[in-house]
Amino acid sequence: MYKVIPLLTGAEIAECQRIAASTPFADGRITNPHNKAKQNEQLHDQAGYDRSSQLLQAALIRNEELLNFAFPVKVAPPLITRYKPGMKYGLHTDVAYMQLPNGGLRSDLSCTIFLNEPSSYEGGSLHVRLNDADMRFKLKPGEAIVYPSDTLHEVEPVTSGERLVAITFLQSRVQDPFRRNLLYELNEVAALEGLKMKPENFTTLQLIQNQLLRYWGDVPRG
Amino acid sequence: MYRILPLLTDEEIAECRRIAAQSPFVDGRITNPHNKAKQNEQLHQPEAYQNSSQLLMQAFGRSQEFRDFAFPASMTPPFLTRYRPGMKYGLHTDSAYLRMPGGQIRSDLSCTIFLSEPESYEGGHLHIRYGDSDLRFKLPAGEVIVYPSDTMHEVEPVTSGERLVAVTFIQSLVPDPFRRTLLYNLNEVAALEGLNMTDENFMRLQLIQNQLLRHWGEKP
Repeated sequence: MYKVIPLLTGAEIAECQRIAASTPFADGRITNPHNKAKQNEQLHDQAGYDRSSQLLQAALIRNEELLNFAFPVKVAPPLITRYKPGMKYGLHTDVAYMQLPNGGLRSDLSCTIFLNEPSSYEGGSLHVRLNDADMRFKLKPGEAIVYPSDTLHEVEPVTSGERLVAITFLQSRVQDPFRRNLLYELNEVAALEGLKMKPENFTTLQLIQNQLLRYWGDVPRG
Repeated sequence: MYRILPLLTDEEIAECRRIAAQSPFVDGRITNPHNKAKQNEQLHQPEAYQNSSQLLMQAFGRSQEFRDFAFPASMTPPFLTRYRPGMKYGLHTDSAYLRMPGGQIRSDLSCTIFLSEPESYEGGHLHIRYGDSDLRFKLPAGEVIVYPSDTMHEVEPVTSGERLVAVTFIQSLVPDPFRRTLLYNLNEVAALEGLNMTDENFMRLQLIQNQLLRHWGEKP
């Protein structure tokens, strides 16, 4: 499932833009040297990276909608990435496991956080292939799209202006997309309707929610 | 999970008793020759068996509560069994697979249909072991207890009177007890609360119910 989530405050968007404007970027191939599809630039400065990734990570894990939708147990430090005219990230898939400063992460969900106005650049939609169907996302600054990591997707060429985003990957407590979506939906219905129910029925529903999460959730480590 | 359901009308109870009273019974070991625990008698006459099992199958067939709880795919024709003073069915487990007229059945759920008034006999409880705990059932005539087939259970000795029951075994579309019980509970909540929900949320809940049933249900 695909979920658009409002994530950042105006001040946080401005801070990310400020960091991006005052910090050096490098060719995105430095972290994917064997990927010819990747033609973008990514933030390449320890202080700027620390500051922006902490800000964005904090925004992600305080976001109730994201927690409910993704059941995250690990979130990769978001990386600010930009596309200038002619740049793109051709059709690709995200790797299943990635190395983080504090251990490994299985990427169950991918996330793009948009950081500038869609009207300020042409092209640059995130295009997700669903077999013979297509989805395109070009969101407002501060909004994030969270989508399954096991899709073929691309960033279409930017033809003018600059596309500034941050990308991150989430490991979910519920790896299987079918199960994760079902639990999310069930929890949403319970949250929306629970207080109208007879207490006994709501208790039964809560039992079911917790049974399914125990049944399907990964074993916590550490 | 254990579920007690009202199943039979007074006429049906009377008809089962009439069939039992008029028909020959034989030693229950005839179908379980190697089971020393079984000390009861079962109906042994094709026409009486057909009449009683059809009557009982029809009663199950019209019970919405039974369908909701058991998700039955198939079941064995119930057969009448009686316990006279001194008879019992010692602690045992039910077989995983049973032969029946149309082929085989996997017994996911076991079911006892009580046909005598409980005060007409002494003893004769269905006793189910549940870890270090115990469950005992001795129900009014016409009621059934449906319980998981993978328990150790026994019929305690009848000390006076006569205990007439019918027993049957059910193969469920959802064999896993955890999943079956969860689906049952979810469907019950949806049935009880669905009309109070917004249309959108009720639809979302119905999607979840059907997704889980597709995900967990066996091919019919």
